[in-house]
Amino acid sequence: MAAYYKFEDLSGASTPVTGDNPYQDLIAACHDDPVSSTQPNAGAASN
Amino acid sequence: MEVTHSLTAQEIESLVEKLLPEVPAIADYTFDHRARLVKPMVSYDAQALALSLLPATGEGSQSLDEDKYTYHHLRRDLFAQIQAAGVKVASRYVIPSAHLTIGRFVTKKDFETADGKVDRAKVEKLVAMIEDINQWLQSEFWPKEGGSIKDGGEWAVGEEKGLDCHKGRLWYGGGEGVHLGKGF
Repeated sequence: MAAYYKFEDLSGASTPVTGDNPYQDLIAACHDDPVSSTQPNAGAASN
Repeated sequence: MEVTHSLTAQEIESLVEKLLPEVPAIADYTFDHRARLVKPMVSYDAQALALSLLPATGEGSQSLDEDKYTYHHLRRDLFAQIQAAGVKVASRYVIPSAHLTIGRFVTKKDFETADGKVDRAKVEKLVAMIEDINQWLQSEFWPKEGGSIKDGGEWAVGEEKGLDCHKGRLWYGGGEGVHLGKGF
């Protein structure tokens, strides 16, 4: 992943950038689930 | 999606020329790939005010399954299409939120006392006003119990107009139009 990408994320959540397409990482961070993306703790609670 | 920034007009023109054959397909992409946003809310930080939205999760007329394609997926696909056209995406930020910037705080003077200190009363007034607006947005435009949404409370990206490809000095809707995608 290019080093120049920077997440402007004020949520306090940690979103590691691992692939070529940073938006895929956001989807992965939300477990590809729109409910998780609206409730940041929902995914963590289900793990 | 910011493709690049801080380049000369000549450098931008060369990237636009490379991307141009793919631009109609990219700008029309929302016609067949519909990301729905709901729950408008005014958000703010030290730099700006914005109208933020969240991905729909089955509220209103669509099922959760129909809302599986979110704005994250849309941004991912646009990023991939631009890169596939041979143009490296070099945005300043990868933005996780869906928001429209309302305004930026370009000076502190409106929130300072005469001696240059933070005027807490003025800040408090601003925050109270934002909270009032958000209460109104929530009561009027957020999904009701049972899921119905008042007109204006949801936005399917690509409604009325497709994506609007611009070049040049793009801040706040500026720049020069290259192509407007078809809406639905």
